[in-house]
Amino acid sequence: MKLKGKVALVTGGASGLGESTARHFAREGAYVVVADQDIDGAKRVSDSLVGDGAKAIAIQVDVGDAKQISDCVAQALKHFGQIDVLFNSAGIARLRSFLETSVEDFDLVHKINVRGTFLMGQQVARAMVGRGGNIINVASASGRRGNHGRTAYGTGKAAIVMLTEIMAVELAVHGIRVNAIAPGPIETPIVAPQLTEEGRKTWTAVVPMNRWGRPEEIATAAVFLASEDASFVTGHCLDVDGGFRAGGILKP
Amino acid sequence: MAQGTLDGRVAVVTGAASGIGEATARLCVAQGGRVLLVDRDAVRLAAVAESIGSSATSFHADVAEPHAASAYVEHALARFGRVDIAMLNAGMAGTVCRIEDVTAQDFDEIMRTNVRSVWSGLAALFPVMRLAGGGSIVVTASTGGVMGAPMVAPYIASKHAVIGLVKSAALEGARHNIRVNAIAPSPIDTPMMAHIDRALGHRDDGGGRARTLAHVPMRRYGTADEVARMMVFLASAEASFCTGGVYLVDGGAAAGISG
Repeated sequence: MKLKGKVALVTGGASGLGESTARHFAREGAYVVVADQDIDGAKRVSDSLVGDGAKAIAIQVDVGDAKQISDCVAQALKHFGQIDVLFNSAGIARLRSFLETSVEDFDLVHKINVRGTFLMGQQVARAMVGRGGNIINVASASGRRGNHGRTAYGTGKAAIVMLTEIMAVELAVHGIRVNAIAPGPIETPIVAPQLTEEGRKTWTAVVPMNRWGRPEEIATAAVFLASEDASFVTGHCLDVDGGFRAGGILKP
Repeated sequence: MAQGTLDGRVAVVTGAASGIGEATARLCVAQGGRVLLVDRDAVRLAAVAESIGSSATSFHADVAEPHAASAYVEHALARFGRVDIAMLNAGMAGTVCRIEDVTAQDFDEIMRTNVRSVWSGLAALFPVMRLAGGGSIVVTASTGGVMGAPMVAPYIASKHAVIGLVKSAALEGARHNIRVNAIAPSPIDTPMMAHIDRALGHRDDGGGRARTLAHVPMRRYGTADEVARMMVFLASAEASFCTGGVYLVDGGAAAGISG
């Protein structure tokens, strides 16, 4: 087991990438704090982990609220005494064209995705100073290339890539590794029912592997980065995108 | 080990007689794979293969030679019946000098060894992997493939070129379930890095290395094994949606200036 005895805080852990990562972390021996705004969903995940013999708790947190972030971290520390791994995945998506993006859209996405990632990372990193740790931020393929409709979302995700590099550079001296994962299109339970055939094809047409990814394909990357397997990897944004970032013209 | 991530897989590793290649070959076997080790140093190659044991076999070749790749792929097929994974890792640092002091011969040698060898490896592997229904190829680039550095211009150029090859190969391979990725390590404690440090007048006593380490947030050299673990991750099913990427193993060096 690659994370035996480690305490992992997973934000956005009630579904999708967060849930899958929480499950993989637990399978690798970690104690898991499932944090989410959706406390019922978080409890469902933590209960099921406990049912499988793991140690897990659920905490409600809205990462748009600084006070709730510090409360969440304090509660996790109170319960498990330490945090070794942070999977910083809570976030929201808004698709709106550049010309139609409102101030409210822009501010909300940046508050949740960028400020939330920053504050959660800062609170957890402060608890890691002196003992080391590991932080994984969640970026996106939309923060790596210019995608239609991602004025707020894409700029926020690009900011997370840079935040990751700065955190890595500053926190290395404290033995804290900081990396990001940039998922391409992933078929999560929230996304899947909303997908139109056209929406599905829009992505597969530009993904060399010609398919959507699965949540567990993000989770295995998260386990890799969180484990000693990645002991010299920091400041990296690991693309899990079916080749999207490498792509250009895909057909001869 | 309960279960390896490469159980039942066959991997070819070039540049396998030392450094990152050797560590990767060992890790492939530790993860349940069988490995063909390729290197131009016949003596070290045989010793490494023997020390790994019965899951390893070796093939002596210089990847700079035009027919080396088809020969090692054929050898792997003859020996193991399949090739699932290739770690195209062989490479050289070449001369350490100013651009105007590089000879055409030196330049061409680096390109043959670091770039053409990767192309010929891909060219030999693709038909085999396509027929088999897929495969995974990991190419050793360098942070020198995404950033410049003085005194090693041909090496830097070759590593930039390799990343272009990887991206194009990923696009051609994706529909055939062939994943192709690059890794960008630096600085790693290997014979090649020692060669570069020596040539730059750095010494192994800590004082000389400090100049290199000033650029590394984690303030240490990585180990070959730490790079091997990234290569095996990318080669395994754990990275099943990763292709065409450049994956850093650099202690944070490419992220920025660490003050």
